[in-house]
Amino acid sequence: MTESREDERIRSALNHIMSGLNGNPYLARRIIANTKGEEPVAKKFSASAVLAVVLVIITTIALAAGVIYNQEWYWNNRNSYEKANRPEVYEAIMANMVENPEQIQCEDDDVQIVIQDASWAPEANIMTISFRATPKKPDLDELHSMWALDTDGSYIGEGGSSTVTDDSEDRAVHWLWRSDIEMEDASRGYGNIPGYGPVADMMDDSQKHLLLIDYTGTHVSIDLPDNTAGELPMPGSIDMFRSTNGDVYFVGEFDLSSLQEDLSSLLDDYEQKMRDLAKKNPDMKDHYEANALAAREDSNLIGENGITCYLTYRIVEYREGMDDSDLYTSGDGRSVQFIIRPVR
Amino acid sequence: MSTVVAKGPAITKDKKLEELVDRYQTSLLRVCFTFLHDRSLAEDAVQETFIKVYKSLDSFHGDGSEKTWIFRIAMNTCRDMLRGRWFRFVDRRVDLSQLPEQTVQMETGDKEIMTAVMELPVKLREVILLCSFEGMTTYEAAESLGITQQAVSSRLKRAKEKLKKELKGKGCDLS
Repeated sequence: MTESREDERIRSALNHIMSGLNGNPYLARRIIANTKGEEPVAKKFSASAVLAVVLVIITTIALAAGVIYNQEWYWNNRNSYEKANRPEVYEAIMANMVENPEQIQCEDDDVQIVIQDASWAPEANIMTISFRATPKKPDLDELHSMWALDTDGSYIGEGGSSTVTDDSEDRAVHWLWRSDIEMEDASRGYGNIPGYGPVADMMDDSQKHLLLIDYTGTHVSIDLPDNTAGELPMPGSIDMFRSTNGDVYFVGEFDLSSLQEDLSSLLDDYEQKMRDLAKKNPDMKDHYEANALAAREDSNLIGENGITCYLTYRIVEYREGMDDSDLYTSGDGRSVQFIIRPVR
Repeated sequence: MSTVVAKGPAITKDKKLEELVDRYQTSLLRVCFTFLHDRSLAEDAVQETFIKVYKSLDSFHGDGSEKTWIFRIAMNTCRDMLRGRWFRFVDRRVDLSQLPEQTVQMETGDKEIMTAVMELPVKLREVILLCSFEGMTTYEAAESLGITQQAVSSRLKRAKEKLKKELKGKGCDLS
């Protein structure tokens, strides 16, 4: 297989897959009009299953201790896009906000997670939550978000350069990005805090263990008859950031529009399961049919008693030279269960 | 007797932009999508690129090819979107469902190859997109990326090794 045939295969595969992706015939005119001040060229923001959240890294003086980085702060400071461009969404989030929802965290010796607030706003097709993660042994551990590791994508592991330089070449070593809230603009670069560089150089205290928290998903739990439950995954976009006091914060924005369809599919599957069981056990046919009926009748995404959600995460203790498969897959299976009750 | 040859009207800046958009927009969009993993971001990147192109048309004197110049602007725009002052947290998984329906017959292995390219580390993905996908020479790719030709060659070799290894694991290859 010659090199040019490999290139041709790559080219054809990508063009086949993207054959429907073509340019905008009006783009040139819009750009010209925009440059002449006639027409704004609006930026799109992803509306795909996982939305991109634009983070504005603000240059501020150090904030006094005690600032609460909850959603009230978040949607008015760090991410003011909704407020500026979709005020109806912003208003819906704020109007449905519930602080400190009932919650229970799994046993976790490393990190305490507190769901600070949650907003279920079906009128805007959105659910939002925020949590704060605090290391339980701050004298021994330093907590950062997994997103802060190799943020530039230049880490390639074996085969990359192990020479530590300022230039973003392919790297065989992990780099940590420090862009904590209350710090200045993080584009100061290599070896500076805020900035980026080898992990040990970028920690506040490299004698401590580096713990990395990685968000892995949120699910909604739907009660079904016979003490069973179905789980629906919540697609959404997330933002994680760190404060200088060592806590890591998370804000998630979840799209509810697909949830109702997923619920219908879940109930269809459940009904089918009940029909199959009824066929196998004719003497219990009435029981299974009643279950199927009850599931349909009781199914609301959120009723008077609220809706139960699970947020899952991993905690990994970073060690220099550790196997990448451990880094990216270990520490799984931790969760926080919380209940969102309707505001009205 | 001298002959005066009447020259045609100089091409206007607006017309030039239209030509460039017509010529490069689709391939830029596909490169940016593969790079950024997100259709809306890719459309933003293409738009940003052509805005910068339009504003710099007067200062482009044809030193270096037009294509490498435009792709240089596009790659820098994409890199800016990935890091620097603006952090965009996107799902790192490859999601091809956001693409419009294919209009041509697919071949076995197309999806696996696309996914494998999108999952390459950024620096390797760049060279595959410019050299293998766009057909640039290592010289042209080096100009577009602002790196040396040796770096392009080295990354291209590593990228293909990684692709072949990844595809072998999925039961397909680059044939």
